[in-house]
Amino acid sequence: MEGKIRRNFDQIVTAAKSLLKNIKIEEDISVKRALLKISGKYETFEVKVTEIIDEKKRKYAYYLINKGVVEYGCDNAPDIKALKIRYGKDYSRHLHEPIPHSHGKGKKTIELTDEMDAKKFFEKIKVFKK
Amino acid sequence: MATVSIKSNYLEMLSTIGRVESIVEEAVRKYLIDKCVERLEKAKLKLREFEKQYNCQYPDFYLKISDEKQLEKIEKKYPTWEADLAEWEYWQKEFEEWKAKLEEILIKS
Repeated sequence: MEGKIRRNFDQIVTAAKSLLKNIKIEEDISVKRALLKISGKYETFEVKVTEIIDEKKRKYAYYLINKGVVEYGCDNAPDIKALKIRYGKDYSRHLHEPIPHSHGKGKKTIELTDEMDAKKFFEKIKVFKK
Repeated sequence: MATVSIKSNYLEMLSTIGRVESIVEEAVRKYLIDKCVERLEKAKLKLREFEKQYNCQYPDFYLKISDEKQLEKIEKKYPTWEADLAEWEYWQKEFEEWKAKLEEILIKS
């Protein structure tokens, strides 16, 4: 498992290095899980990437931040706002369920999405070029 | 029990000190304890950072983000809380598992 995770993390780091400046990378590979955190600058924006492989599950959170305010973000956290969109009144029965979604400017909008990955996120943020 | 190869010059030196099997077993035990402690310390440090930032422990944070009003407050102050949640859970699990491993070594030996 470790080799596969390392290759995956290396690909994300390579993609990040080709797009971001002042890049900082934090990596932890343990027995059952692995963590990759990347932060850097894209144009005038701050970019934060968190990727976790926990046994066979993936957790991710990617943000494009403008002066402390999320400009665009996507993650699969069990966000109750996203759960409400998918399950309506039944959302409380799914409270711990990962749910892929995206956030708009200032996190004022939220949309359900397909599973995202860091490469797709890096492509997506290119439209925010100033 | 498993068989492990050891360089012959090490083996020779070890046999002058005492019973090779016992020495190797004790060395491996010490190594594993050190490894567990190292991981526990790292996890504890990370957990403390999150606990200080959110002024609660991981299970309480999970409850807070499951409540719409509390989540609203958290989101205002920490708009990237989802990344913190994922990482916090990571270190919480690491802490619990390495602690269990250390206890197992200490109890069984």
